[in-house]
Amino acid sequence: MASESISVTTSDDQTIQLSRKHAQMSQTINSMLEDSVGADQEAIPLPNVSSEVLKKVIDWCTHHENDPAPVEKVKKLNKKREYKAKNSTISDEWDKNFVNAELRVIVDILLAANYLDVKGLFELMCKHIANELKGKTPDQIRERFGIQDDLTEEDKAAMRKAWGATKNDS
Amino acid sequence: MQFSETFEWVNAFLQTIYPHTLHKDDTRPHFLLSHLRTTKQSYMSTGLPSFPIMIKSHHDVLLPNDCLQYIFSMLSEDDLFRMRLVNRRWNRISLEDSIWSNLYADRFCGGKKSELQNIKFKSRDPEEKPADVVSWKQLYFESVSLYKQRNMRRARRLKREAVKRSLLYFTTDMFASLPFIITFYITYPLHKLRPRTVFFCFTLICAFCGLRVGAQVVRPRQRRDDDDEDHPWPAIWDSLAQMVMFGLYSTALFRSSFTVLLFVNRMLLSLRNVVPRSFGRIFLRR
Repeated sequence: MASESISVTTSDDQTIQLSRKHAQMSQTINSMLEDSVGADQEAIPLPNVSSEVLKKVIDWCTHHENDPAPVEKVKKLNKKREYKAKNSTISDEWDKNFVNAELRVIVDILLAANYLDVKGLFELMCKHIANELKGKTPDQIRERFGIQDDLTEEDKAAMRKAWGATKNDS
Repeated sequence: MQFSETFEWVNAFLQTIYPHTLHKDDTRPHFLLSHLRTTKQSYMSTGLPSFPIMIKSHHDVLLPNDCLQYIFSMLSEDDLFRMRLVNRRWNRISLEDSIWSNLYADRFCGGKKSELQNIKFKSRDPEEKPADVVSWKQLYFESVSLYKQRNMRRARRLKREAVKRSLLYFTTDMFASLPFIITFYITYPLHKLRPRTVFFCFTLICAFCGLRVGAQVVRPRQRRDDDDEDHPWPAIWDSLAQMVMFGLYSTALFRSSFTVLLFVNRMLLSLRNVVPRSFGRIFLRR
């Protein structure tokens, strides 16, 4: 019979125990477990996730362990063929507190969720970043995310012109 | 040459051709990875780390393309435009068709994503092709879809442009038939055609040239508005008109060649007394 806890080794060489239920919320770990049936005692290496970030992921998994499994939604337009935008609202209060962290931590959790393939957490982080981007000017975004501006003034002027023409047409 | 060196060379080459599509720091073989992934619609990775994680530096927050794409799909049209102005990489990702197809599936194409291939949002690309490349037929079909979306102003503008270009097309057609018409006019006394018959042929050619154009520049509201049929009747009329035109052209060509031969024959006959008798025996026998 498989053990109830699983050990994983993080990028900073720390071994962390997590329950099988939480581990199975990650598609990456789940597939690793399926591949290594009978070798349960070995620690699973997670070279792209630090212990600090993994603890955050485990916190999220613990809070959402009873949530129904996410279903891959096939995008369909309704009968009137209206576009239904992806909603970026975070409704859960616990989630709101969870994302209330430094940008560096948020990005690390997002990268970890992407690597571990934890769909709910990935969506939550993306929603948070989308909310951060909404209504911000390019300069504010660059400052917030520490991005260097490699566009020339000519490029920007051309884009603004094309955008203005499109806006006037529609 | 090493495998990685080959990729570097290919990337450098691609960078030269498509400077707006490749990030200069990104040395991945884009042409392989980005296109291989298109069949998978899921935004989640397959478990392997995306490359931008590996090039994360101490001051830049570099999100993987998958993440950025998913984040951008939650933004509005205006927000997406601002994302384009952040840097080249964000500009490239915010132009992804999958993001815009979410926003515009209804507005432009009545929900048909396949039709997005025809639009490609070229007007949003600063390096767009000149408008002359677009044919009048493409303009017409785009105006039809805009009529359906009740985007009347742009639809009317596109239709006007389509009509202008179709008139040019019509003129080209007329020029193509001009040699036949001229031959008819010059040689009609020879084949005993009355002027009004020639004029009738000319009018008929004009009418069918007009029909070819008019069949497709018809107002969309005049026909049945069936989304599933891909503009069937203008195509049928176009084919029919082309068949008739072909018939007319062939007849005219045959008649003209025959007339020209008659004309040459008559000229040679008039020279009968000049040319040697032996030559006349062979070629100018009545």
